[in-house]
Amino acid sequence: MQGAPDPSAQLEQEEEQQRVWRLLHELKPEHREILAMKYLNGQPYEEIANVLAIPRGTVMSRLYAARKAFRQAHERSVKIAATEA
Amino acid sequence: MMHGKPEGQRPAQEERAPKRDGVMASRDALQQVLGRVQDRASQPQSCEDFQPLMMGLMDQELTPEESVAVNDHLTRCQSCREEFEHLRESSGRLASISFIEPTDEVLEGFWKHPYNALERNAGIYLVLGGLATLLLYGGYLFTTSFSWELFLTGGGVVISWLAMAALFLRQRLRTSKTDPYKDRISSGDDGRSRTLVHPLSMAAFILAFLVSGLASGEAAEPTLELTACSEELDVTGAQCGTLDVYEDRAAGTGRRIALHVAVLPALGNETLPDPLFMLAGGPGQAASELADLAEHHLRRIRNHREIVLVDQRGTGDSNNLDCGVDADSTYFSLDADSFVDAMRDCLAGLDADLRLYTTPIAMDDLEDVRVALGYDSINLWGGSYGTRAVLVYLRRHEEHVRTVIVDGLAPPAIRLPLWVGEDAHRALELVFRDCAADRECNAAQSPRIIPSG
Repeated sequence: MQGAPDPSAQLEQEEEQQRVWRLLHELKPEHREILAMKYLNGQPYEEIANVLAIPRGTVMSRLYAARKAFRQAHERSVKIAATEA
Repeated sequence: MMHGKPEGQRPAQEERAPKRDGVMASRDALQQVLGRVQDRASQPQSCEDFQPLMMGLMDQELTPEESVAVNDHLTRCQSCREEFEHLRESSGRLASISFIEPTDEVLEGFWKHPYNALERNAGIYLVLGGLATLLLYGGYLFTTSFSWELFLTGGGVVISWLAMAALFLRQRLRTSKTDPYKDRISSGDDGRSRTLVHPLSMAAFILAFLVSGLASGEAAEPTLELTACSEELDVTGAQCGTLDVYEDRAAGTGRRIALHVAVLPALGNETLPDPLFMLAGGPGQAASELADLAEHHLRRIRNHREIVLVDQRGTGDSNNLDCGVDADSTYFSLDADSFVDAMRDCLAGLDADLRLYTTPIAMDDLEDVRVALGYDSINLWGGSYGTRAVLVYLRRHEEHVRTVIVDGLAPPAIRLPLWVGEDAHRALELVFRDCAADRECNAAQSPRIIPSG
Protein backbone atom coordinates (compact mmCIF):
# COMPACT_ATOMS: atom_id res chain seq x y z
CA MET A 1 0.00 0.00 0.00
CA GLN A 2 2.77 2.38 0.85
CA GLY A 3 4.49 1.48 -2.37
CA ALA A 4 1.66 3.02 -4.41
CA PRO A 5 0.64 6.42 -2.97
CA ASP A 6 -2.27 8.21 -4.56
CA PRO A 7 -0.72 10.96 -6.75
CA SER A 8 -3.57 13.45 -6.31
CA ALA A 9 -3.55 12.98 -2.54
CA GLN A 10 0.18 13.44 -2.57
CA LEU A 11 -0.18 16.65 -4.57
CA GLU A 12 -2.82 17.92 -2.20
CA GLN A 13 -0.63 17.18 0.76
CA GLU A 14 2.28 18.96 -0.82
CA GLU A 15 0.16 21.99 -1.61
CA GLU A 16 -1.12 22.08 1.93
CA GLN A 17 2.40 21.98 3.31
CA GLN A 18 3.44 24.80 1.02
CA ARG A 19 0.46 26.79 2.21
CA VAL A 20 1.40 26.22 5.83
CA TRP A 21 4.96 27.36 5.19
CA ARG A 22 3.75 30.46 3.38
CA LEU A 23 1.27 31.30 6.14
CA LEU A 24 3.96 30.87 8.74
CA HIS A 25 6.09 33.40 6.91
CA GLU A 26 3.18 35.82 6.81
CA LEU A 27 2.68 35.72 10.56
CA LYS A 28 4.33 38.34 12.69
CA PRO A 29 7.79 37.27 13.90
CA GLU A 30 6.72 36.79 17.51
CA HIS A 31 4.10 34.25 16.47
CA ARG A 32 6.23 32.56 13.82
CA GLU A 33 9.00 32.18 16.32
CA ILE A 34 7.01 30.42 18.99
CA LEU A 35 5.22 28.14 16.50
CA ALA A 36 8.56 27.16 14.98
CA MET A 37 9.92 26.35 18.41
CA LYS A 38 6.88 24.30 19.25
CA TYR A 39 6.37 22.43 15.98
CA LEU A 40 9.64 22.44 14.07
CA ASN A 41 11.96 22.16 17.03
CA GLY A 42 9.50 20.26 19.20
CA GLN A 43 10.66 22.15 22.26
CA PRO A 44 8.73 21.81 25.54
CA TYR A 45 7.29 24.89 27.30
CA GLU A 46 10.11 25.01 29.80
CA GLU A 47 12.72 25.29 27.06
CA ILE A 48 10.73 27.87 25.11
CA ALA A 49 10.33 29.92 28.29
CA ASN A 50 14.07 29.69 28.92
CA VAL A 51 15.11 30.63 25.41
CA LEU A 52 12.68 33.52 25.05
CA ALA A 53 13.16 34.58 28.70
CA ILE A 54 9.44 34.74 29.35
CA PRO A 55 7.33 33.08 32.08
CA ARG A 56 5.50 29.83 31.39
CA GLY A 57 2.18 31.66 31.45
CA THR A 58 3.34 33.95 28.68
CA VAL A 59 4.43 30.94 26.63
CA MET A 60 0.87 29.68 26.81
CA SER A 61 -0.80 33.02 26.10
CA ARG A 62 1.57 33.71 23.20
CA LEU A 63 0.98 30.25 21.81
CA TYR A 64 -2.73 30.89 22.03
CA ALA A 65 -2.40 34.18 20.13
CA ALA A 66 -0.09 32.56 17.57
CA ARG A 67 -2.36 29.59 16.95
CA LYS A 68 -5.37 31.86 16.66
CA ALA A 69 -3.53 34.07 14.16
CA PHE A 70 -2.46 31.01 12.17
CA ARG A 71 -6.02 29.64 12.18
CA GLN A 72 -7.42 32.93 10.91
CA ALA A 73 -4.75 33.20 8.22
CA HIS A 74 -5.42 29.62 7.17
CA GLU A 75 -9.15 30.14 6.94
CA ARG A 76 -8.64 33.26 4.89
CA SER A 77 -6.23 31.49 2.58
CA VAL A 78 -8.55 28.57 2.03
CA LYS A 79 -11.41 30.95 1.29
CA ILE A 80 -9.34 32.89 -1.24
CA ALA A 81 -8.20 29.66 -2.89
CA ALA A 82 -11.84 28.55 -3.13
CA THR A 83 -13.02 31.77 -4.79
CA GLU A 84 -10.08 31.70 -7.20
CA ALA A 85 -10.76 28.11 -8.18
CA MET B 1 -17.32 31.81 10.19
CA MET B 2 -16.35 29.90 13.28
CA HIS B 3 -16.71 32.84 15.62
CA GLY B 4 -20.39 33.58 15.20
CA LYS B 5 -21.68 31.22 17.89
CA PRO B 6 -24.24 33.28 19.79
CA GLU B 7 -25.18 30.46 22.16
CA GLY B 8 -21.68 29.85 23.31
CA GLN B 9 -20.66 33.47 23.45
CA ARG B 10 -23.22 34.49 26.02
CA PRO B 11 -22.05 32.47 29.01
CA ALA B 12 -18.51 33.61 28.28
CA GLN B 13 -19.55 37.23 28.53
CA GLU B 14 -21.45 36.57 31.68
CA GLU B 15 -18.42 35.04 33.24
CA ARG B 16 -16.26 37.99 32.22
CA ALA B 17 -18.74 40.56 33.42
CA PRO B 18 -17.74 40.75 37.11
CA LYS B 19 -14.14 41.56 36.14
CA ARG B 20 -15.24 44.43 33.87
CA ASP B 21 -17.14 45.91 36.79
CA GLY B 22 -14.01 45.73 38.84
CA VAL B 23 -12.47 48.33 36.46
CA MET B 24 -9.67 46.03 35.45
CA ALA B 25 -8.10 46.06 32.03
CA SER B 26 -8.15 42.61 30.48
CA ARG B 27 -4.36 42.44 30.22
CA ASP B 28 -3.97 43.16 33.92
CA ALA B 29 -6.59 40.60 34.67
CA LEU B 30 -4.78 38.00 32.60
CA GLN B 31 -1.49 38.64 34.30
CA GLN B 32 -3.13 38.46 37.65
CA VAL B 33 -4.79 35.20 36.73
CA LEU B 34 -1.59 33.72 35.38
CA GLY B 35 0.07 34.68 38.63
CA ARG B 36 -2.63 32.82 40.43
CA VAL B 37 -2.18 29.86 38.15
CA GLN B 38 1.46 29.75 39.09
CA ASP B 39 0.99 29.95 42.82
CA ARG B 40 -2.19 27.89 42.60
CA ALA B 41 -3.75 29.90 45.35
CA SER B 42 -6.99 30.32 43.45
CA GLN B 43 -8.62 29.28 40.21
CA PRO B 44 -8.99 31.28 36.97
CA GLN B 45 -12.47 32.55 36.31
CA SER B 46 -13.20 33.77 32.78
CA CYS B 47 -12.82 32.23 29.33
CA GLU B 48 -9.96 34.62 28.65
CA ASP B 49 -8.21 33.29 31.71
CA PHE B 50 -8.55 29.76 30.41
CA GLN B 51 -7.34 30.45 26.86
CA PRO B 52 -3.62 30.08 27.68
CA LEU B 53 -4.34 27.02 29.80
CA MET B 54 -6.16 25.48 26.84
CA MET B 55 -2.79 25.56 25.06
CA GLY B 56 -1.19 23.74 27.93
CA LEU B 57 -3.91 21.13 27.78
CA MET B 58 -3.48 20.74 24.03
CA ASP B 59 0.27 20.31 24.41
CA GLN B 60 -0.03 18.17 27.56
CA GLU B 61 2.05 20.55 29.56
CA LEU B 62 -0.29 21.13 32.51
CA THR B 63 -0.09 19.99 36.10
CA PRO B 64 -2.90 17.63 37.14
CA GLU B 65 -4.70 20.42 39.06
CA GLU B 66 -4.51 22.77 36.06
CA SER B 67 -5.83 20.02 33.78
CA VAL B 68 -8.76 19.43 36.07
CA ALA B 69 -9.58 23.14 36.18
CA VAL B 70 -9.41 23.56 32.39
CA ASN B 71 -11.39 20.42 31.69
CA ASP B 72 -13.98 21.55 34.22
CA HIS B 73 -14.27 24.91 32.45
CA LEU B 74 -14.49 23.30 29.03
CA THR B 75 -17.40 21.13 30.07
CA ARG B 76 -19.26 24.23 31.22
CA CYS B 77 -18.29 26.63 28.38
CA GLN B 78 -19.38 25.49 24.95
CA SER B 79 -17.69 28.34 23.03
CA CYS B 80 -14.42 27.56 24.72
CA ARG B 81 -14.81 23.93 23.83
CA GLU B 82 -15.43 24.80 20.19
CA GLU B 83 -12.50 27.14 20.07
CA PHE B 84 -10.31 24.50 21.60
CA GLU B 85 -11.33 22.02 18.93
CA HIS B 86 -10.83 24.49 16.11
CA LEU B 87 -7.40 25.45 17.32
CA ARG B 88 -6.41 21.84 17.75
CA GLU B 89 -7.60 21.08 14.25
CA SER B 90 -5.78 23.98 12.59
CA SER B 91 -2.67 23.48 14.67
CA GLY B 92 -2.55 19.91 13.48
CA ARG B 93 -1.56 21.32 10.10
CA LEU B 94 1.45 22.89 11.69
CA ALA B 95 2.48 19.52 13.06
CA SER B 96 2.57 18.16 9.54
CA ILE B 97 5.40 20.36 8.38
CA SER B 98 9.05 19.72 8.88
CA PHE B 99 12.36 20.83 7.50
CA ILE B 100 13.18 18.95 4.36
CA GLU B 101 16.89 18.47 4.07
CA PRO B 102 17.73 19.31 0.46
CA THR B 103 19.50 16.61 -1.47
CA ASP B 104 23.11 17.04 -2.56
CA GLU B 105 21.99 17.47 -6.16
CA VAL B 106 19.73 20.35 -5.19
CA LEU B 107 22.51 22.02 -3.19
CA GLU B 108 24.96 21.47 -6.01
CA GLY B 109 22.52 22.94 -8.52
CA PHE B 110 21.93 25.94 -6.29
CA TRP B 111 25.64 26.48 -5.82
CA LYS B 112 26.43 26.26 -9.50
CA HIS B 113 23.52 28.33 -10.70
CA PRO B 114 25.01 31.28 -12.63
CA TYR B 115 22.91 33.85 -10.79
CA ASN B 116 23.89 32.51 -7.38
CA ALA B 117 27.54 32.39 -8.36
CA LEU B 118 27.33 35.98 -9.54
CA GLU B 119 25.55 37.10 -6.40
CA ARG B 120 28.00 35.22 -4.19
CA ASN B 121 30.96 36.90 -5.82
CA ALA B 122 29.34 40.27 -6.53
CA GLY B 123 31.44 41.90 -3.81
CA ILE B 124 34.77 40.88 -5.23
CA TYR B 125 33.67 41.70 -8.79
CA LEU B 126 32.59 45.17 -7.74
CA VAL B 127 35.76 45.82 -5.75
CA LEU B 128 38.07 44.56 -8.49
CA GLY B 129 36.06 46.39 -11.14
CA GLY B 130 36.22 49.61 -9.15
CA LEU B 131 39.94 49.27 -8.58
CA ALA B 132 40.57 48.44 -12.21
CA THR B 133 38.64 51.54 -13.22
CA LEU B 134 40.61 53.65 -10.75
CA LEU B 135 43.91 52.25 -11.98
CA LEU B 136 43.00 52.73 -15.63
CA TYR B 137 41.95 56.29 -14.96
CA GLY B 138 45.13 56.80 -12.93
CA GLY B 139 47.22 55.44 -15.78
CA TYR B 140 45.44 57.74 -18.18
CA LEU B 141 46.15 60.75 -15.96
CA PHE B 142 49.79 59.68 -15.65
CA THR B 143 50.29 59.61 -19.38
CA THR B 144 48.48 62.87 -20.00
CA SER B 145 49.44 65.09 -17.09
CA PHE B 146 52.02 64.04 -14.56
CA SER B 147 52.22 65.72 -11.16
CA TRP B 148 53.56 64.68 -7.80
CA GLU B 149 50.14 64.84 -6.19
CA LEU B 150 48.94 62.46 -8.84
CA PHE B 151 51.92 60.23 -8.17
CA LEU B 152 51.07 60.14 -4.44
CA THR B 153 47.41 59.47 -5.15
CA GLY B 154 48.17 56.69 -7.57
CA GLY B 155 50.82 55.30 -5.24
CA GLY B 156 48.34 55.29 -2.38
CA VAL B 157 45.77 53.41 -4.41
CA VAL B 158 48.31 50.89 -5.68
CA ILE B 159 49.83 50.29 -2.24
CA SER B 160 46.40 49.87 -0.65
CA TRP B 161 45.40 47.56 -3.42
CA LEU B 162 48.53 45.46 -2.97
CA ALA B 163 47.96 45.37 0.80
CA MET B 164 44.43 44.19 0.26
CA ALA B 165 45.53 41.61 -2.26
CA ALA B 166 48.11 40.31 0.22
CA LEU B 167 45.51 40.01 2.96
CA PHE B 168 43.14 38.36 0.53
CA LEU B 169 45.72 35.78 -0.51
CA ARG B 170 46.74 35.10 3.06
CA GLN B 171 43.13 34.49 4.01
CA ARG B 172 42.61 32.25 1.00
CA LEU B 173 45.67 30.28 1.92
CA ARG B 174 44.55 29.90 5.52
CA THR B 175 41.05 28.99 4.41
CA SER B 176 42.27 26.33 2.06
CA LYS B 177 44.21 24.72 4.91
CA THR B 178 41.58 24.84 7.60
CA ASP B 179 38.24 25.04 5.84
CA PRO B 180 36.10 22.22 7.23
CA TYR B 181 33.69 22.54 4.30
CA LYS B 182 36.36 22.15 1.67
CA ASP B 183 35.38 18.58 0.86
CA ARG B 184 31.68 19.25 0.94
CA ILE B 185 31.82 22.27 -1.32
CA SER B 186 34.50 21.55 -3.82
CA SER B 187 33.21 23.61 -6.70
CA GLY B 188 33.53 26.96 -4.99
CA ASP B 189 34.96 28.77 -2.05
CA ASP B 190 32.98 30.75 0.42
CA GLY B 191 36.15 32.06 2.02
CA ARG B 192 35.95 34.92 -0.40
CA SER B 193 33.10 36.73 1.20
CA ARG B 194 34.72 36.41 4.59
CA THR B 195 37.97 37.79 3.24
CA LEU B 196 36.26 40.86 1.92
CA VAL B 197 35.04 41.98 5.29
CA HIS B 198 38.36 41.28 6.96
CA PRO B 199 38.92 44.37 9.10
CA LEU B 200 42.44 44.93 7.84
CA SER B 201 41.45 44.78 4.21
CA MET B 202 38.59 47.13 4.93
CA ALA B 203 41.05 49.49 6.57
CA ALA B 204 43.33 49.31 3.55
CA PHE B 205 40.40 49.99 1.29
CA ILE B 206 39.22 52.97 3.30
CA LEU B 207 42.81 54.27 3.40
CA ALA B 208 42.98 54.13 -0.38
CA PHE B 209 39.85 56.25 -0.65
CA LEU B 210 41.06 58.69 1.97
CA VAL B 211 44.42 59.13 0.25
CA SER B 212 42.83 59.70 -3.13
CA GLY B 213 40.20 61.95 -1.56
CA LEU B 214 42.81 64.08 0.21
CA ALA B 215 44.96 64.40 -2.87
CA SER B 216 42.06 65.34 -5.10
CA GLY B 217 40.76 67.73 -2.44
CA GLU B 218 44.05 69.63 -2.65
CA ALA B 219 43.50 70.78 -6.21
CA ALA B 220 41.92 74.20 -5.98
CA GLU B 221 38.88 75.05 -8.02
CA PRO B 222 39.16 78.13 -10.21
CA THR B 223 36.95 80.98 -9.07
CA LEU B 224 37.99 83.66 -11.54
CA GLU B 225 35.62 84.00 -14.44
CA LEU B 226 37.27 84.47 -17.81
CA THR B 227 35.79 85.68 -21.08
CA ALA B 228 37.29 86.49 -24.44
CA CYS B 229 39.67 89.44 -24.26
CA SER B 230 39.00 92.74 -25.97
CA GLU B 231 40.69 93.47 -29.27
CA GLU B 232 43.53 95.28 -27.53
CA LEU B 233 44.97 91.95 -26.50
CA ASP B 234 45.36 90.41 -29.90
CA VAL B 235 46.21 86.79 -29.17
CA THR B 236 44.02 84.00 -30.52
CA GLY B 237 41.91 82.42 -27.81
CA ALA B 238 43.11 84.75 -25.07
CA GLN B 239 40.78 84.92 -22.09
CA CYS B 240 40.52 87.91 -19.80
CA GLY B 241 38.98 88.61 -16.43
CA THR B 242 39.39 90.68 -13.32
CA LEU B 243 40.09 89.79 -9.73
CA ASP B 244 39.14 92.27 -7.04
CA VAL B 245 41.70 92.76 -4.28
CA TYR B 246 41.80 95.28 -1.45
CA GLU B 247 44.13 98.16 -2.08
CA ASP B 248 44.97 97.80 1.61
CA ARG B 249 45.42 94.03 1.80
CA ALA B 250 46.45 94.06 5.46
CA ALA B 251 43.32 95.94 6.54
CA GLY B 252 41.04 93.88 4.30
CA THR B 253 38.61 96.80 3.92
CA GLY B 254 38.22 99.93 1.87
CA ARG B 255 38.98 100.58 -1.77
CA ARG B 256 39.33 97.65 -4.11
CA ILE B 257 41.45 97.27 -7.18
CA ALA B 258 40.25 95.18 -10.10
CA LEU B 259 43.36 93.33 -11.27
CA HIS B 260 43.32 92.73 -15.00
CA VAL B 261 44.19 89.11 -15.80
CA ALA B 262 44.78 87.59 -19.22
CA VAL B 263 45.31 83.89 -19.91
CA LEU B 264 46.81 82.88 -23.24
CA PRO B 265 45.86 79.29 -24.06
CA ALA B 266 48.44 76.62 -24.80
CA LEU B 267 48.92 75.96 -28.50
CA GLY B 268 49.18 72.17 -28.39
CA ASN B 269 46.57 69.58 -27.59
CA GLU B 270 47.84 68.93 -24.10
CA THR B 271 48.00 71.64 -21.49
CA LEU B 272 50.32 71.02 -18.57
CA PRO B 273 48.85 72.03 -15.20
CA ASP B 274 51.55 74.62 -14.41
CA PRO B 275 51.34 77.82 -16.49
CA LEU B 276 53.93 80.53 -17.02
CA PHE B 277 53.26 83.86 -15.29
CA MET B 278 55.06 86.77 -16.95
CA LEU B 279 56.16 89.68 -14.78
CA ALA B 280 56.86 92.89 -16.65
CA GLY B 281 59.61 95.42 -16.20
CA GLY B 282 59.71 98.97 -15.07
CA PRO B 283 58.32 99.10 -12.49
CA GLY B 284 55.35 100.44 -14.36
CA GLN B 285 55.07 98.25 -17.41
CA ALA B 286 51.86 96.25 -17.65
CA ALA B 287 52.12 92.50 -18.11
CA SER B 288 49.42 92.64 -20.77
CA GLU B 289 51.90 94.60 -22.87
CA LEU B 290 53.97 91.40 -22.99
CA ALA B 291 51.32 89.53 -24.97
CA ASP B 292 53.18 90.18 -28.19
CA LEU B 293 56.45 88.91 -26.71
CA ALA B 294 54.68 85.83 -25.40
CA GLU B 295 53.05 85.12 -28.72
CA HIS B 296 56.15 85.43 -30.86
CA HIS B 297 59.06 84.49 -28.65
CA LEU B 298 57.75 81.95 -26.17
CA ARG B 299 56.18 79.59 -28.63
CA ARG B 300 57.98 76.57 -27.28
CA ILE B 301 56.67 77.29 -23.81
CA ARG B 302 53.24 78.06 -25.17
CA ASN B 303 53.09 74.69 -26.86
CA HIS B 304 52.24 72.98 -23.59
CA ARG B 305 51.57 75.76 -21.13
CA GLU B 306 49.17 78.60 -20.66
CA ILE B 307 50.69 82.03 -20.20
CA VAL B 308 49.20 84.27 -17.56
CA LEU B 309 49.58 88.03 -17.71
CA VAL B 310 48.54 89.96 -14.64
CA ASP B 311 48.69 93.73 -14.75
CA GLN B 312 50.39 94.53 -11.47
CA ARG B 313 48.52 97.03 -9.30
CA GLY B 314 49.21 100.54 -10.61
CA THR B 315 49.87 99.38 -14.18
CA GLY B 316 47.88 98.64 -17.31
CA ASP B 317 44.22 98.06 -16.56
CA SER B 318 44.78 97.59 -12.80
CA ASN B 319 44.23 101.10 -11.48
CA ASN B 320 46.93 102.51 -13.72
CA LEU B 321 49.03 105.22 -12.04
CA ASP B 322 49.92 107.07 -15.21
CA CYS B 323 51.55 110.45 -15.47
CA GLY B 324 51.70 110.22 -19.25
CA VAL B 325 55.47 109.93 -19.50
CA ASP B 326 56.28 108.35 -22.82
CA ALA B 327 58.50 109.06 -25.78
CA ASP B 328 56.02 111.49 -27.32
CA SER B 329 55.28 113.49 -24.18
CA THR B 330 56.42 117.05 -23.77
CA TYR B 331 58.08 116.34 -20.42
CA PHE B 332 61.43 115.82 -22.03
CA SER B 333 61.59 119.38 -23.27
CA LEU B 334 61.40 120.57 -19.65
CA ASP B 335 64.41 121.25 -17.52
CA ALA B 336 65.05 118.95 -14.59
CA ASP B 337 63.40 121.10 -11.91
CA SER B 338 60.28 121.67 -13.99
CA PHE B 339 60.12 117.97 -14.69
CA VAL B 340 60.19 117.18 -10.97
CA ASP B 341 57.46 119.75 -10.34
CA ALA B 342 55.32 118.28 -13.09
CA MET B 343 55.76 114.85 -11.51
CA ARG B 344 54.78 116.16 -8.08
CA ASP B 345 51.61 117.68 -9.53
CA CYS B 346 50.73 114.41 -11.22
CA LEU B 347 51.41 112.47 -8.03
CA ALA B 348 49.08 114.69 -6.01
CA GLY B 349 46.32 114.08 -8.50
CA LEU B 350 46.53 110.26 -8.43
CA ASP B 351 43.62 108.43 -6.86
CA ALA B 352 45.58 105.89 -4.82
CA ASP B 353 47.34 105.31 -1.52
CA LEU B 354 50.83 105.06 -2.99
CA ARG B 355 52.25 103.41 0.11
CA LEU B 356 50.36 100.30 -0.92
CA TYR B 357 51.86 99.89 -4.40
CA THR B 358 54.94 97.95 -3.35
CA THR B 359 56.38 94.78 -4.82
CA PRO B 360 55.61 92.48 -1.81
CA ILE B 361 51.96 93.60 -1.79
CA ALA B 362 51.73 93.17 -5.55
CA MET B 363 53.19 89.66 -5.27
CA ASP B 364 50.51 88.76 -2.72
CA ASP B 365 47.98 89.96 -5.32
CA LEU B 366 49.63 87.59 -7.77
CA GLU B 367 49.26 84.74 -5.28
CA ASP B 368 45.52 85.51 -5.10
CA VAL B 369 45.34 85.28 -8.87
CA ARG B 370 47.14 81.91 -8.82
CA VAL B 371 44.58 80.57 -6.33
CA ALA B 372 41.65 82.10 -8.19
CA LEU B 373 42.76 80.47 -11.44
CA GLY B 374 43.12 77.11 -9.69
CA TYR B 375 46.82 76.46 -10.30
CA ASP B 376 48.78 74.40 -7.79
CA SER B 377 52.19 75.44 -8.96
CA ILE B 378 53.34 77.99 -11.50
CA ASN B 379 56.43 79.01 -13.47
CA LEU B 380 57.58 82.60 -13.42
CA TRP B 381 59.30 84.67 -16.07
CA GLY B 382 60.55 88.11 -15.17
CA GLY B 383 62.42 90.71 -17.20
CA SER B 384 64.28 93.62 -15.67
CA TYR B 385 62.18 94.88 -12.73
CA GLY B 386 60.12 91.73 -13.30
CA THR B 387 63.07 89.65 -12.11
CA ARG B 388 62.96 91.47 -8.79
CA ALA B 389 59.23 90.81 -8.59
CA VAL B 390 59.94 87.14 -9.33
CA LEU B 391 62.44 87.02 -6.47
CA VAL B 392 59.96 88.62 -4.09
CA TYR B 393 57.24 86.18 -5.12
CA LEU B 394 59.70 83.33 -4.66
CA ARG B 395 60.54 84.58 -1.18
CA ARG B 396 56.88 84.84 -0.16
CA HIS B 397 55.23 81.91 -1.96
CA GLU B 398 58.02 79.51 -2.79
CA GLU B 399 55.88 76.40 -2.24
CA HIS B 400 53.83 77.18 -5.35
CA VAL B 401 56.74 77.91 -7.66
CA ARG B 402 57.95 75.22 -10.04
CA THR B 403 60.61 77.16 -11.98
CA VAL B 404 61.69 80.76 -12.49
CA ILE B 405 63.32 82.50 -15.43
CA VAL B 406 65.05 85.75 -14.54
CA ASP B 407 65.96 87.69 -17.67
CA GLY B 408 68.20 90.69 -17.06
CA LEU B 409 68.43 90.31 -13.33
CA ALA B 410 67.77 93.30 -11.09
CA PRO B 411 68.60 91.87 -7.66
CA PRO B 412 67.02 93.49 -4.63
CA ALA B 413 70.39 94.85 -3.51
CA ILE B 414 70.72 97.39 -6.33
CA ARG B 415 68.83 100.65 -6.56
CA LEU B 416 67.15 100.01 -9.81
CA PRO B 417 67.30 103.20 -11.90
CA LEU B 418 70.51 104.52 -10.36
CA TRP B 419 72.99 102.90 -12.75
CA VAL B 420 70.80 102.79 -15.81
CA GLY B 421 72.53 105.71 -17.52
CA GLU B 422 76.05 104.51 -16.87
CA ASP B 423 75.24 100.90 -17.71
CA ALA B 424 73.53 101.86 -20.96
CA HIS B 425 76.47 104.00 -21.98
CA ARG B 426 78.93 101.20 -21.21
CA ALA B 427 76.87 98.66 -23.09
CA LEU B 428 76.77 100.90 -26.13
CA GLU B 429 80.52 101.43 -26.05
CA LEU B 430 81.10 97.70 -25.84
CA VAL B 431 78.90 97.15 -28.89
CA PHE B 432 80.84 99.79 -30.80
CA ARG B 433 84.14 98.20 -29.79
CA ASP B 434 83.01 94.80 -30.91
CA CYS B 435 81.77 96.26 -34.18
CA ALA B 436 85.09 97.99 -34.79
CA ALA B 437 86.87 94.69 -34.30
CA ASP B 438 84.60 92.98 -36.80
CA ARG B 439 85.59 93.65 -40.37
CA GLU B 440 82.16 93.32 -41.92
CA CYS B 441 80.41 95.31 -39.22
CA ASN B 442 83.06 97.98 -39.42
CA ALA B 443 82.77 98.22 -43.18
CA ALA B 444 78.99 98.35 -43.07
CA GLN B 445 78.81 101.53 -41.00
CA SER B 446 76.94 104.25 -42.81
CA PRO B 447 77.26 106.90 -41.68
CA ARG B 448 80.49 106.12 -39.96
CA ILE B 449 80.02 106.54 -36.19
CA ILE B 450 82.97 104.58 -34.88
CA PRO B 451 86.45 105.86 -35.60
CA SER B 452 88.28 103.23 -37.52
CA GLY B 453 90.51 101.31 -35.13
